[in-house]
Amino acid sequence: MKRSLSYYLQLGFTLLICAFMVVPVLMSVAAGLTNNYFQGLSSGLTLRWIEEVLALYSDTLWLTLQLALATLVVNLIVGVPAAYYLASSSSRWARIFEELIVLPVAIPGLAIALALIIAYGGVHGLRTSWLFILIGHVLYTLPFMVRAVLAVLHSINFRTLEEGAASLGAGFFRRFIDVVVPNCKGGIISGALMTLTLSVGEFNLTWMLHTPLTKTLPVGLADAYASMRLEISSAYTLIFLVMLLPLMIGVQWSGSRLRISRV
Amino acid sequence: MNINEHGASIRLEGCTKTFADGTLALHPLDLSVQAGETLVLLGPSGCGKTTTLRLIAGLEFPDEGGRILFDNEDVTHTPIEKRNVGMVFQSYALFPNMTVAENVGYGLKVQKLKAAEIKSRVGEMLEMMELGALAHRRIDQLSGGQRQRVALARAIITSPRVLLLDEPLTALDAILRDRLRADINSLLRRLGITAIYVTHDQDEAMALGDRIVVMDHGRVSQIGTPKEIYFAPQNDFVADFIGQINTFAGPVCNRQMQLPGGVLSDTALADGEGKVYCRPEDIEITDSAGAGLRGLVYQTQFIGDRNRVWVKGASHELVIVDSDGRSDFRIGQEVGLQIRPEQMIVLDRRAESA
Amino acid sequence: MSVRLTRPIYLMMLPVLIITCAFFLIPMGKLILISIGGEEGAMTYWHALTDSRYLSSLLQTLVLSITTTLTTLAIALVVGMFLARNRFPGQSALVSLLTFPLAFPGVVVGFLVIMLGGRQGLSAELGLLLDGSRWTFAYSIVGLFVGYIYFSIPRVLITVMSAVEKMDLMLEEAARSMGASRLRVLLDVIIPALKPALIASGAICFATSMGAFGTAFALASGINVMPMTIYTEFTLGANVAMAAALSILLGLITWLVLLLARSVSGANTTPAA
Repeated sequence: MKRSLSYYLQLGFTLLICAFMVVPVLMSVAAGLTNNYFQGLSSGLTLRWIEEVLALYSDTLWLTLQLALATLVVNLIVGVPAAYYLASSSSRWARIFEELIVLPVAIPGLAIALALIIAYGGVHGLRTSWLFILIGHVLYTLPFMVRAVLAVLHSINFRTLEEGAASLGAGFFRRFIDVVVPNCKGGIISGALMTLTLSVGEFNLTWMLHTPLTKTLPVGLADAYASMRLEISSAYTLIFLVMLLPLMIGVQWSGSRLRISRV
Repeated sequence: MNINEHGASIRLEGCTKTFADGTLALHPLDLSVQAGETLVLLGPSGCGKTTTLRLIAGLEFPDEGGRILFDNEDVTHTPIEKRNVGMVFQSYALFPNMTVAENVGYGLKVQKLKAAEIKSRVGEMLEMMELGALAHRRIDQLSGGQRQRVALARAIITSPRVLLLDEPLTALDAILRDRLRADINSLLRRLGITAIYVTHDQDEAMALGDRIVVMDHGRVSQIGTPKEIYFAPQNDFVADFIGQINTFAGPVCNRQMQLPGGVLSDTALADGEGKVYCRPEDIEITDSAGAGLRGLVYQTQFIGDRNRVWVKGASHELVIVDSDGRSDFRIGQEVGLQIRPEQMIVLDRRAESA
Repeated sequence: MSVRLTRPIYLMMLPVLIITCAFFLIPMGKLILISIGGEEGAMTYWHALTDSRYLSSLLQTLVLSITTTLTTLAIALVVGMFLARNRFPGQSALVSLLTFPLAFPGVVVGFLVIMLGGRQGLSAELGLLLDGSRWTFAYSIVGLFVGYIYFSIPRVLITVMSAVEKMDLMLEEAARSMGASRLRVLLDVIIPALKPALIASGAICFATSMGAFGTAFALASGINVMPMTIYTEFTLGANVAMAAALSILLGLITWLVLLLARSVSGANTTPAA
């Protein structure tokens, strides 16, 4: 097949951009595994930086995981029913609520964090607790869960399915559990993966809300970048990428599954 | 297997339906359905047939003042979950997250029957509907015809007193539709259940219905048996909607209607402006010499079991005539048209304005 | 069709409403109150818009965001069209690599920029090889720009690619059958068809850039983008009222841009990072 010059130019450009995205990551991974960055790979590969990072920052890892899972649980309990309501109702209020729920995403995380501190910073025990960060994470990720489930609900005719179940005698909650939720699975999974991914990587909100005792991984990274040597920062970044990788793959996989299933 | 002794009788009294935006979808409706009868609601989109079905189902409620009774029990305010009806939806509404067997058994599960009993009843029903081999298939693996049968099985297994079908064959291709139409017909007869069937397809209506309710813009145009609807339409809408029909309109004098191509005689014609309907199969093409009504062949179309001929010039519109399949006509050929008086449909003007 | 199937439905909305009210509406309300509660009162806003320090920060952020948006759109258009239209071995791998950084927080992106353009970075090494001096760009506005492009490309690319996939090929074929050249087809058929997606993703890109904090924080450059200004006002300057006012202004700008884009293109807009 003959390919024109423009094809190769585009291919070249694409590869260039790809390199731009990938090379620094590879460099960082390499730096985290070499004995001495300035000497390069010739100084030998080692795991000691990773060990050091785990010794110094393991609490950030656990907190990040804890936060992500807690955010997910809240989003599932709160977001799925909310999406159901928004999909069922055609009233003006529903449209207003939909806008409202999505608003936290349109406003910079810094501003939201500031608002939270001003409103609840004085509440005894809350300011220094990880729950404070949880609130921020939920505010930021909930719209994605709602959106994902809403998208699936709009594409399946869940109204008719509900009528079918009702015609067979099923009451409201029966219908919700037997028919509506199982058929939103794709959206729920997609929303869940988004929630986990965004929570793990959240910085703007978390930086403002954190305390020395409640540091997440990204916050720890910022600390490391400022004060630690390059190899440790790189190793820490490597661990972060490793945490993020399965989530990213999951998001991409569930996204394509949703597209395919909509035949 | 006898699902039902017989179904319930249904009565609607003064039911209207106004939607949230103010549109009146249904004008005051009085309807009486006998137990075990198959009643077809027929009409074009937006005529109110689906709204009526949903009122009977309990998915919608009539405006204040309307009443719905099943066997003399007032169910007007009973929601569908409690009305014990079976419903087949246009898109079947089969649950994608359940297998065929689970779908069919869902109604029984809601009634909290024991698992063993559900299993045996579902098995029986699947056998009856010839779905036995598909019990554990998922819905998306089924063909259109199979889905339809699953939807039917699911609706009747709970022994409902009324079966409601909302254009169940619309989603299928023509050949499948014909075949399933016959299947549904025999199933409804066998079950003896009261069935309300909504469709916009008149062939379907006439094949399935004991009686047909022809609806137009939220009103009932005519209720009757298929033959009554076809041979004795009571107004312009029904005459026009059912089958092909020819209209002859013109001034009448001495029992003769003046038409561009000649005259039409009938003792039933009153003096003044007249209007007569006639079905294509009731018009005979004769030699033009000596014929009271003449015209020119405009077009012909061989359809296999008949030769459809369009004749120009006889009436104000093209006259459609169904002639014997073996007949032959040339375009431009002059022909005569003969209609026997007993086959002319003359509308009673008083009935029209009702 | 009104369906009377759902009565406990208001229960479904209750949790989310409680959360939104308690943790978003009320705090934002208090933020507004604080912003006008300082010693200057409502004049804080006037001060925010006229003081050279804040104004220059705002303008710098605007310029940076707009440039980032336009550049990213251009890149995404070329790459997105290429990848969506051509199938070749490794294509999906390329797509994955290009969109993988989607979830990287700004700080990490800043770190990666330092890897590329810091004093020991790639470009520094390159510079040493070529002319003996270290080419460092990470700590200037160029570094910031590179960082912003880095986290913008994945999101815009995904949107553009899915829009290209949805495009009706027949429109292009019709144009070509009428003699239109490749360039004409691009200008007359493709770009108009992609306009909603471009506007939507451009708006998100702009909003994200305006609100980006981590990258500037990591690069610690002399450039004061708005979020950094807000941060310093709050933590170092203890000027809560000013920080609040600047936050409100920033939030208003990003929200308006997204609203505008949505009304023009009618698409889904969700910024991130």
